[in-house]
Amino acid sequence: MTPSFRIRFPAGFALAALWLTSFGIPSAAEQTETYRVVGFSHPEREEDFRQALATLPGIVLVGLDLAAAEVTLRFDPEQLVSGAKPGQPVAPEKILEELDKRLGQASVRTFTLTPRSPVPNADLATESIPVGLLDCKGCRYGVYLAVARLEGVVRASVSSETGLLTVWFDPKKTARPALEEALKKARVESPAN
Amino acid sequence: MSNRRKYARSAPGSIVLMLMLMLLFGLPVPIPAAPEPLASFLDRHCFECHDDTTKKGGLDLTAGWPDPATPDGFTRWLKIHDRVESGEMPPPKSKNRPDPAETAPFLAALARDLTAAEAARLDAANRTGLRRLTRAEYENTVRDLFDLPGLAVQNGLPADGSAHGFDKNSDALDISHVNLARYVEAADRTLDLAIATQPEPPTRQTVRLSLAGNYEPNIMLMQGDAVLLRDRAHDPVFPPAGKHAHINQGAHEQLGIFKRGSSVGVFRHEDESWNAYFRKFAALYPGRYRVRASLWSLWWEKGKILPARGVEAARLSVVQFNENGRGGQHPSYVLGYYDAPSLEPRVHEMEVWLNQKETIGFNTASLAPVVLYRVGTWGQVDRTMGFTGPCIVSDWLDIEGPLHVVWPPNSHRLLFGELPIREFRPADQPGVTPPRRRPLKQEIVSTDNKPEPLVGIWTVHSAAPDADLRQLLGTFLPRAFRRPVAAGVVEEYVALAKSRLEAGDSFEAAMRYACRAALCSPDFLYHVEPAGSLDGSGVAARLSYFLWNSMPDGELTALAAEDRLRDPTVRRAQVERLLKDPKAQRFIEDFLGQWLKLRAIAANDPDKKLYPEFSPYLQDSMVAETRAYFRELIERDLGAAYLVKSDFAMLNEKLAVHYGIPGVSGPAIRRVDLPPGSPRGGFLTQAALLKITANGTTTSPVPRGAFVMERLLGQKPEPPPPNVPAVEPDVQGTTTIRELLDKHRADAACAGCHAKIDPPGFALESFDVIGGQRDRYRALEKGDPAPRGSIDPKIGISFKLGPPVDASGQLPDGRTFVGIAEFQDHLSAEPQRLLANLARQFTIYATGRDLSFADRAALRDIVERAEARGGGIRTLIHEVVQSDLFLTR
Repeated sequence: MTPSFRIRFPAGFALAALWLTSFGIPSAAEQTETYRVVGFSHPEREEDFRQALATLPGIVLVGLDLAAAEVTLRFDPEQLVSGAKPGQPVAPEKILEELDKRLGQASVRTFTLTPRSPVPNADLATESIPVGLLDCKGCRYGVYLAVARLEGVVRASVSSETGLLTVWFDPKKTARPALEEALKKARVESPAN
Repeated sequence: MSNRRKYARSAPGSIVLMLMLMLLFGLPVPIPAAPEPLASFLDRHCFECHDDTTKKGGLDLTAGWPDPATPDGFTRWLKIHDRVESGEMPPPKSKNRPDPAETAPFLAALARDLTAAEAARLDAANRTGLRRLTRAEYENTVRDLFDLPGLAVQNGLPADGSAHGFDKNSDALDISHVNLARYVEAADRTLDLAIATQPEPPTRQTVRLSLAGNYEPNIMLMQGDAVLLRDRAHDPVFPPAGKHAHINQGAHEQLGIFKRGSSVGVFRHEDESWNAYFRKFAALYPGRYRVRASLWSLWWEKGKILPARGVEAARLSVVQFNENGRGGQHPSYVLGYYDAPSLEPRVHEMEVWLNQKETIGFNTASLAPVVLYRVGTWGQVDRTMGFTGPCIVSDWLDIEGPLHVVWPPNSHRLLFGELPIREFRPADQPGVTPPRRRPLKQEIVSTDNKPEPLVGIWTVHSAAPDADLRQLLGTFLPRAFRRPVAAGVVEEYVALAKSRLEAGDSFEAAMRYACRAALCSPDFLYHVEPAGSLDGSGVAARLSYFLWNSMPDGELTALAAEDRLRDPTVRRAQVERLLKDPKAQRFIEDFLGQWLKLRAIAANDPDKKLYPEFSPYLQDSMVAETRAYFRELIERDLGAAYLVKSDFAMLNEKLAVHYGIPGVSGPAIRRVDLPPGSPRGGFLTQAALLKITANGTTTSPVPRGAFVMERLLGQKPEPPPPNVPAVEPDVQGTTTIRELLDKHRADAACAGCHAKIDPPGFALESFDVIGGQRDRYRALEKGDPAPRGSIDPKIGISFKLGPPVDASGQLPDGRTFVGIAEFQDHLSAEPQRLLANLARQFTIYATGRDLSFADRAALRDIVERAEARGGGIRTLIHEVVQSDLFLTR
């Protein structure tokens, strides 16, 4: 994680909370949920995420924790899911499916929503793998994609300053060799030539 | 009186009976002896070599006088006439050469007999046979008739044959059920485009396209064969690959990195594996579009953007997608080669006709045609950031259109006049079948442009169908048939349309039915000319099909109606007008395509090892040179000597470098004064002709010599005797073609003809298969290392320098030359011969028939009149048009 990540996140969260209290209380039908986001390959992606979300009517950004790659959203399930019956609860998986679909369309599938990781932060292992000083946004995202969807990987981040890919993962499900193999398959040069 | 009749009358019945018996029993039939004064001349000057014992060249003239009325007899005596007339026979070294006083009566008598024999054979009133439109004429005619200048129907029609050097002769223009089926298809396609199916024109839109974001360029960007640029610097979002290769193209595309409107700098020339097309657009509405492109160039020095080495050339072409675009595409035609100046973007603007599914393609034409760049791929040190070389940049390309000056378009007005277009409501027209409409869909998957929604079926409305049909067809048919049409003929087409109305068709469908019939009728498909002298419409059509390769326009038609085209002054003015019109370019392209065989320019690809510098850009420049040079000859009315020798050339930078002429920059063809001693300029030494007459690997004096003789000098060589093996070239570098030919010419049967054919070919040995000048042959195995010369440094050279070229020779008349310059001097000293041949070519092309023996006097007259007026090429065209040959069928 880069220092700027740590500093920016709490400020952003606080601002979002302030915005919420200033502009009204959620209606009775509205619901607030937190999800894991796949797609935060590097800090500049926050802006992409916000832009994509801004195009989705009826879905409000409540909080964004880049360090944990989690987002908290407020929405009206009845408005969100077509066929939902008034006054009756909508299945959480249907809500997630619809939110993911809409966010995917708005971001050309560069962001995906999944359920939050059940593994506590304290139990996650971390590995930093040199991938070179990647000054190309697309390549940083490409490196990230190589590992982001591996089973057990909770989040990852590529730094153009340190040339490292940092991966947080469940050590019971994966390990560094598997990460390196995935990078090799994606033709990521490690170590850089 | 024909010889046949002469013999029939003089032969007593008993002789005839005897001959019949001899034929019956297979005995040799004696051929009558030649009449006087032919017999005595032959006896004195010819029998010495051509009797039954010597039979030189296989010819025994003592065997009798073959009847000139027979094809074989005519051919033999014509040959004898021409050999004696040219002085070739009896041979100059002969002790018994006749003096002119003796030759003249011989030739006159022979000419009399040949003319008489020919007159009996040919229909004097209908020398030009009934001939259909060629493919090119057909396409140009429907384009001009309907004002659809980019309508493409030619490729759907069967290929035309060729006779006497051109496809316009009735001998070459056969017709079959295949033609007819294709004419129906072509007529439907034309009418589909011509008829407006909506009340308002499609909205004119402008789309800005970037090369980035398209399938193939994205791959090149990822590989590093191209870079993204912004404000003439690296695009920071997608920096050039250096230490690291770019990875995961899909990730970049998902993030929209290639869709930000950045400029694209390309290092690599197109080849079999990659072409750059603007795939985000494919025309939906056929029509005129305005295309603007911003292009420039730079020199890439390991990531630094420096001034380019000069003005680079970018090629833009029209490309048509197949099916839904995934199945591929093919370039329809090259729009042109455009300046890409150093570091300064230049915006080029052009109006283009786009058919459905067409878009624009881009190529870095002036870059080396090699695939050695791949600067960004794996394993290359520092990839793009380590590369040094030229780069051509496409900032953007705008396509605006469709451009409609009027609505409904002229094509629709030609068919339906001012009838209103209204929505078809079945309730208003019970029992009438609505016109068929195919919903417009964007079938090309990669595109962003979509069709506009159209509600309802819109079609022309006629309140008085009978009267409208009569009036509309009465206007359409004379235009389509290129001459006045009798009222009865119009009524036949009206009846056709009415039969469809009675069957329940809409007015549009009925009119379309009649027009389709007209477009498939002989009146449209054939040049219908009266016997004997042409009428006004016939002259108008000959003029326009000669100089525009298409139908007459309004002015010609009006002059024909007033019968003013018989007036020589009016014809002169019309020739000037037609030649100044842009449509005259069709004549230049069609005529040169056949006379100088420019259509065969791509018949072979030069060997890549022997001629690695060859590129499509060079080939297109070659063709452009020949066309521009011919146009220059016509515009400036230059003399026939310019066909073979010139003090200027029409060049662009590519050709100038190829020819070793300094000081020419950029892709535009322009007039360039040649340095003293340069052999370039005339057709004889133009790269296009030198390529057409070579086989891609080696040159041979034989085909080149035959080409010069037949096409420039008007002397068609005899075909080779049967069972003579071809001279196989040696590319190993051991034996020269001259050495091989010397062996060939040792055979007496071959020597006679080769003495005439080979000399022009020997002179042209100074030029290789792509028209480069040479002192030594290129070879693949044996030889000395070759210097690079003007070959691009990015191109690898593996060929060697083989034996030296010997371009010397001797003409049949004994004149010698040591190389191309002296040979050009010899040819240019005979402008009348060159002019006479060109007059012959123009006349055959314009009249659609070969010239007979009896036409020689008329042809001589054309040439003499042209010479008396300065002997220029444009003057010659005028004199052809003024001649009886042109004005008579």
